[in-house]
Amino acid sequence: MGTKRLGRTQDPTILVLTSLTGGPKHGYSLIQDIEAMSGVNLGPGTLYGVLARLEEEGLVEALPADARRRPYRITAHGAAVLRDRLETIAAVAHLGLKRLGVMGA
Amino acid sequence: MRRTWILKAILALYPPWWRARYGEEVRATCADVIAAGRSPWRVLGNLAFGALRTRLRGTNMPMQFECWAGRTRASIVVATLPVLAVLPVIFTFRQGEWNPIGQTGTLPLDTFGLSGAGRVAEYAFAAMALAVVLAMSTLLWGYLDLAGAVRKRGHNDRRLRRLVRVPWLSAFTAVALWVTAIAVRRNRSLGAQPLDGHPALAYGLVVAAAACAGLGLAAALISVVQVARRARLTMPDLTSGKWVALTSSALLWVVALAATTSMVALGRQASGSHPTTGIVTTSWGSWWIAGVLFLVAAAVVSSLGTASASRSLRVASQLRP
Repeated sequence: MGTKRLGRTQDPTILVLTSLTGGPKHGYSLIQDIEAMSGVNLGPGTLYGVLARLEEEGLVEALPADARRRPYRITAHGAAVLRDRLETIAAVAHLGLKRLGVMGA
Repeated sequence: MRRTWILKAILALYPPWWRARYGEEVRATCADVIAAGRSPWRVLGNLAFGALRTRLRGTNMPMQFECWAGRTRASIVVATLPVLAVLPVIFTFRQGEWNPIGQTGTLPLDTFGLSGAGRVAEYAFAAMALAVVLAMSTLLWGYLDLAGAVRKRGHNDRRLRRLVRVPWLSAFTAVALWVTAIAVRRNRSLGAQPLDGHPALAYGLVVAAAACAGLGLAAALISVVQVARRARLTMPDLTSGKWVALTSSALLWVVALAATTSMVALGRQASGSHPTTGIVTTSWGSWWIAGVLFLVAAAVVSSLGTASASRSLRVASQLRP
């Protein structure tokens, strides 16, 4: 499996939620923040697909629009879900690094 | 300027409720991203894929009857139109390399010395043809039902109610022209010289009949799309449409499976020609594989449309019209 394929497995849902933990952001700020944070270039089609899904599940909410840009913020439920997911990912990452000998036992 | 036009066109691929909710901010975000130096074509391509995903999933769609009824109508169209799309492929099979055995006319298959595989191929082909005829009949019945529903509901606008009549008027005109062509072509002569009749006029009438039939088909496609976009139909109308979609996709699977069976079986029939008629009994062609793959793809698209129609109808039934 190539590194490119590994890179594509990064879940945009987690990236968007993680970005929103830093405060409310509109579409372009989210794209910039995610790129700076993970190197992933989310396109507007992907981003708004994810935002629509997160909004439907009550994990993020839209704030009143500022001109043509509407900021989004993470909800309490979204923060709880993100925390669960990140803890699982962290546990897997910790175990993987330990087995690779990168981290001490 | 050109990019703005393309952006507008791509945004038009999204459902109306999505454009009303996200359209303006997506436009602003696209402008920012392109201004920051990202390839505009990549951005537009991503947006187009997003439109496809949104259409398929209907994520965050408002829980309003009209939205879900609209999704049901569009899904029914997606499920039924592949029946029309497979027709050219079926005709190509019949006239081209697909039908090397089938030129039997009224002679029994036994006289052609077909192997068991050859018979399976022939019967599978017949099953495919029957399934296509049934699918076309289903489509016709569905259109009749739909046109009747649109005309009955007074809240549909007058233009739409007129539009659904155009295919029928075109079909009747085409048949009338064709029958007239047969009548004027009449030739009672025993030799080659025409003693009466008007062959040139008959030819003109046949061309006009074909044009009318083409117009009718085009009008039928336009009216189906318009009905999917803006017709107001009741739950019984939508339920009937769902059954048309379900029947169409089931028959398309029969067509695809029969075509695959016929292709595989025909490959096992020994090549050769009939001793007296000289009709070739087998012939392989790479076109078959492409054709069969197309039929399977049509069946898959139709099934996805049917699944979406069923789900949307279930949600719509729980909402107040």
